[in-house]
Amino acid sequence: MKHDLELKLQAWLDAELSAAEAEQMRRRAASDPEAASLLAELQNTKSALLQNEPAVTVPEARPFYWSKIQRQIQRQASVRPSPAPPWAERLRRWLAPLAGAAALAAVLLLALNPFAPPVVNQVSDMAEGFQTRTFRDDSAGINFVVFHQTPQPSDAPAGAAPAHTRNDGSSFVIEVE
Amino acid sequence: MPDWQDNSSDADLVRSAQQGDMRAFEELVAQHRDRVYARAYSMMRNEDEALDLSQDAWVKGWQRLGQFQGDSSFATWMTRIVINLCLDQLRKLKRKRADSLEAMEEESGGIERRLPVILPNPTEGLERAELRARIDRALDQLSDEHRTVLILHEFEQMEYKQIARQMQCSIGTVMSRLFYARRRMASLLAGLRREILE
Repeated sequence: MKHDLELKLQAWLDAELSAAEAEQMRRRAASDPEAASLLAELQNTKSALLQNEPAVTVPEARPFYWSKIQRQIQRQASVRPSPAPPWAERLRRWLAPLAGAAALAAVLLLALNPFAPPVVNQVSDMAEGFQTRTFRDDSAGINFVVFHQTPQPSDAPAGAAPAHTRNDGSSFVIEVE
Repeated sequence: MPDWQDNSSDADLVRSAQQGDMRAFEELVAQHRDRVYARAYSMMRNEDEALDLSQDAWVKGWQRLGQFQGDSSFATWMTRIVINLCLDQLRKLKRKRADSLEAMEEESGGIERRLPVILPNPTEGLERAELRARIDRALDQLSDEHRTVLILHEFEQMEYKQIARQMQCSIGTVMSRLFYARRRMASLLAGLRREILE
């Protein structure tokens, strides 16, 4: 008998088949003596085990058994809090999604707020001979290149086409759209 | 603090233990310790390991009491905890064990493939105590995988998909293991020996 069929017979015995498959197995068992005898053996084993689990009891007296549990609980209680009461668990379950939603709302609000100051990120710091820092304002689509003067000021980078420049004495800023 | 009696209900004891009443929890341990230990012993087949794992399960139970919602009985909830600990332990032991030819054969139903069908029923007419003693001896001789799947299906009444989740394997593997476990159990209950087949 094929193993697939053996497993299907067993699944029928365990009520794990759909009605159509169960009917198929019922017919098979009725017409195939080999399938019927295998099914009988599986059934006998299942029935023997049912309600006949060997009885076992703890081989220690109650105080000894409990004392080890209690010691472990107390040891762990010194490093972590005792179990949260059920109301705290329920509160945590309610608040967790709310906290997530609040965080998402805050991010969206910041992203969409037209009055918020532009967020600029430094995107490069590669100049040699003098200090420069480049920042990008994604919302305005502008790069800011900040040049800090050194004791021997370098030439301005060639090819740059600044839209605006500012000079406050110690540094000047080129805004590139 | 109330003076907890043997006949206090699980619901009352759990409620108090959830508020931090250690004496209520001790009473829960006293009432269900045999069941939790028995499950650990049936899976591990070793008294010391069963004691350690069942006690660890109670410690975990205390820590997770806040999560117990009463969807199942407290005893069932505790049994699931000890089953998980035993499965973890068996996995650790399996990793240490070499993949012997015998272990691989067990997985694919090596000897069980060649077993003749055991009929008539080898347990018919047995006294209950004798039947239980034979089942106990037979469980001793099964591989960890076969014993576990039988325990979860026949004693814990779990469905295939629940067992697959617990044992972290496919439903097909569960079906195959259960089939070979039953066949082997049938032969052990009948008192057959391997020599007969060789």
